[in-house]
Amino acid sequence: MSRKTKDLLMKALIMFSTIFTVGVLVIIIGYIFIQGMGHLSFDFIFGSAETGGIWPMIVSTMYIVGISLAISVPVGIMAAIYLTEYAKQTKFVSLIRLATQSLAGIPSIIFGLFGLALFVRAFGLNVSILSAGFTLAIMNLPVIIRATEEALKSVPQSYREGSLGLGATKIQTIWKVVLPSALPGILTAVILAIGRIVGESAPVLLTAGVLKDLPTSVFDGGRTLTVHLYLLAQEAISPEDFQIAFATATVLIIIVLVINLIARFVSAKLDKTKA
Amino acid sequence: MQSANHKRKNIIEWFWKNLFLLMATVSIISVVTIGFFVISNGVKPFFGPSSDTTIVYLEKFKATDQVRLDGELLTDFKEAFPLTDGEHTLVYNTPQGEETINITIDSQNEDPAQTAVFSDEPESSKLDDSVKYTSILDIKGETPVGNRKVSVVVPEPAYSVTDFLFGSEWKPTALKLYGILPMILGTLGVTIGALILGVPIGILTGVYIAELAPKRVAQFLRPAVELLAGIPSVVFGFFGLMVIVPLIQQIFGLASGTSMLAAIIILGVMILPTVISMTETSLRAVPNYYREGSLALGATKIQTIFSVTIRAARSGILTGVVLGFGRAVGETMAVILVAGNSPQVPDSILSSVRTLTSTVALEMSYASGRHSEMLYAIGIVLFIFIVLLNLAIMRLNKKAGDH
Amino acid sequence: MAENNKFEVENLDLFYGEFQALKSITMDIEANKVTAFIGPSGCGKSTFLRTLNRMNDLIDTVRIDGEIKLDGQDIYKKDVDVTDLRRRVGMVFQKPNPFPMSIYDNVVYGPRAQGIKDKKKLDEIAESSLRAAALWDEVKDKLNKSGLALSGGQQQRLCIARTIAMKPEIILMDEPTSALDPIATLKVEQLMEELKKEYTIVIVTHSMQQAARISDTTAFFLMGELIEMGDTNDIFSNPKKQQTEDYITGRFG
Repeated sequence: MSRKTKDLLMKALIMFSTIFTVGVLVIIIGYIFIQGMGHLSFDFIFGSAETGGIWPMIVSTMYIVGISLAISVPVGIMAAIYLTEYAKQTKFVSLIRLATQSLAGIPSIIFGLFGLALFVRAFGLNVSILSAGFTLAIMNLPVIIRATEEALKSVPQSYREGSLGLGATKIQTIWKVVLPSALPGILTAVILAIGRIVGESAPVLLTAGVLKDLPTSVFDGGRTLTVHLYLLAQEAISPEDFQIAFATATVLIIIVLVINLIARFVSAKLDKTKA
Repeated sequence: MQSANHKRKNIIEWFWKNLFLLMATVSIISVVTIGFFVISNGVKPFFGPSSDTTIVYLEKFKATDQVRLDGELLTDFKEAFPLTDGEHTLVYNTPQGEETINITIDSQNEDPAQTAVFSDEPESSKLDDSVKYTSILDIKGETPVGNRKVSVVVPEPAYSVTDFLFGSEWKPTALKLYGILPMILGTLGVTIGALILGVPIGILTGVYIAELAPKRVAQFLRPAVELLAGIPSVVFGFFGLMVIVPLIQQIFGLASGTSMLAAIIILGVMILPTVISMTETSLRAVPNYYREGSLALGATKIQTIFSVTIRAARSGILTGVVLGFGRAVGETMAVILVAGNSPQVPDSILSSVRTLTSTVALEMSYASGRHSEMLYAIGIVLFIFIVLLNLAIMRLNKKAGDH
Repeated sequence: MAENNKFEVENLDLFYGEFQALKSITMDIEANKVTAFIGPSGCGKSTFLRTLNRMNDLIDTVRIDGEIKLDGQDIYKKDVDVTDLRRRVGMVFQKPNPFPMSIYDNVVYGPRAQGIKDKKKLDEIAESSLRAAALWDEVKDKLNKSGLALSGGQQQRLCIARTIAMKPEIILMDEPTSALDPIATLKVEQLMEELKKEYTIVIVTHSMQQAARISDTTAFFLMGELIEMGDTNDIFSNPKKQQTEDYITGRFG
């Protein structure tokens, strides 16, 4: 085969792959939108599960997102501050890094097993929104830590020197100068973390359960949107069930789209302030 | 005054520094706790019997019933009653009258059927031995659904690790067989299949974005890949169930399209973003002088990409592949929805298959005792999988550092 | 005279977007000679060198006017096969850039890219090229070792061997010794002495001493313009233009 033919063949393969990737994305989103959009309505979003609505699932999902962010964001930011602003190259610090990296690599179902053993059983929280929130907080920790570290590292050293040179203490410098400049980067990470939590299913199934009532407190069990879609897909019999499933999937994709757009917007802002 | 202020400042600095340190240690604490809980639950079945003694459970007895075990009147029927080896008598008084049964326990007996033997059972009852290590006496009640049950559960002996890893039968409820070979093979099959499908497409797409795409196109493709990464796995599974599964069913004329192939296709697509973005990032990190060197030698752009640029970026690309492997091994819900989930060694790409993660998610809600511990043991196996993968990544990075 | 010209450049302008980096350059480059380009950094000498094998094509914003003829053929004409041009006009870079593969694979990279598969032929090319680059004796026992494991000077000679392996007519060298220590530099310079018997060499150098030592012809660039070009001895001993003299004396004195 001549060089030209080989080149053409490889180019064709490359184009095919790219088109495949984009095509899959368009087909998945398009298919689910077309099938699900028609069923979206005020009653569907805000209705109870008995009437085929998904309001309880939205509430449960929001509760879990709120709890896990309330824990993982402060802990993650402070851990990242330690790692970038204070830590020296010690064995202990590399141990922390190793632990963070391992945490990121653990399959989500193992977090589910762990949450079940610790929060649900050992702490006696039962299958509840709180258990799921705690479990996902730990799961999300490495994402927040890593993104905050990146954001902190990109803050120019001259900012720190300038602040210290004006007689500010280290902690003042961190709170008043370093952290505010890193904020857009951290915010982007937090927004993307919301997407991850919303999309998580296996650990939530094990720790928050499948109860489809509107949760009255964080100690109640609750069914998230993803678990709802999973159970509908598993058990759907009537066309009505499938419609609800498609509409739920549509809502999930809309959430992901919105989150991605917001994250883009925030990080675009970040680029602007930098330039 | 000055020194008091100075002291106060120092205390504040000290406080924050140590608070930050404490938060940084949360990662270590988490990993250790996760390891502890998963491992401590998961190793139990391999180090001893499932319980210390034989246990009797009473089911559906009513408060008005009178039950005596070895002469002692039982008050709370919800309790579990331990029994030593030897002869025992159980006397129960129900609206149907009083009956006496003898139970002989020999928990050490080689034959599980002989470990608990009922004798003199009344005609109104029947013995159910379908569950291994458990003998159930089914006592006819006043109504068809009012059957009372006496279950005698003898301890299961310690399970052998080899039987666990290489046993090909997973029958956790009735036969107490916990062989996970089908799931290990299922996980490996599905994962490797997904890699075969997803890795070439992912690498080539990454090559296009990093090396060939005009700037504008690349700026559109990158967020598209991010979006693909953000779609929840359940949505992938649902799409697979609604589109891929029926397609496979039609094309191959199967009774059901839920199959290894369906799982491979869905997972192959799910690992694309990981492979694409790692490929793209590491290709971008390749210094331009490699490309120039090759072009100056009269190589074409495509030749340059495939013989020099990709080679220079290989450790990053391989890391992407390994991360994709990890994602595929750990994926649960999408696979459950399309794979069929029968716990048998798959004999073809079209047969139903079950993965390690699916087993945990499917059975955890109703598992108890040893069955539940075995699911934690599966967690350990997954853990080992991931540790091996991470070691592989570390070696790859080290190798890359040598160059 | 004209028959002995390898390259004939006429009125060459080069723009990076709005910025004009080369201003109406006209020059001839003679065959089997060493031609050196000197000048302060940013003067356009490397940019000009890279127009000779169209390496500037890689930059999207570059636009070129004028004509460059290689053996009488315009190399910027539409139907020119760029890869074939680059095979004829080899290039050695500032920083040694062996590929992350074995020494052997590095040397036969070009021939392989041309589609030569015969193992025996490739072996021959590898040996003769490495010998020509005065590297054979140092690496003949470790041809399967990574090219990146060699010392800096060896790496640069490997890159030269790699270029020779394509049997080019011209070798362009872009400050080939700027990343090397004095001993390695000496070896590469001795190698150039040998190579000029068979090849036309064009070298960009930051060191006037080097230009004086190795070249036959020297061209002096300033702010994108070719100020003066001529016999190396003349340029250094008796420059005609004031700017050339300023530059040379400024450096030497």
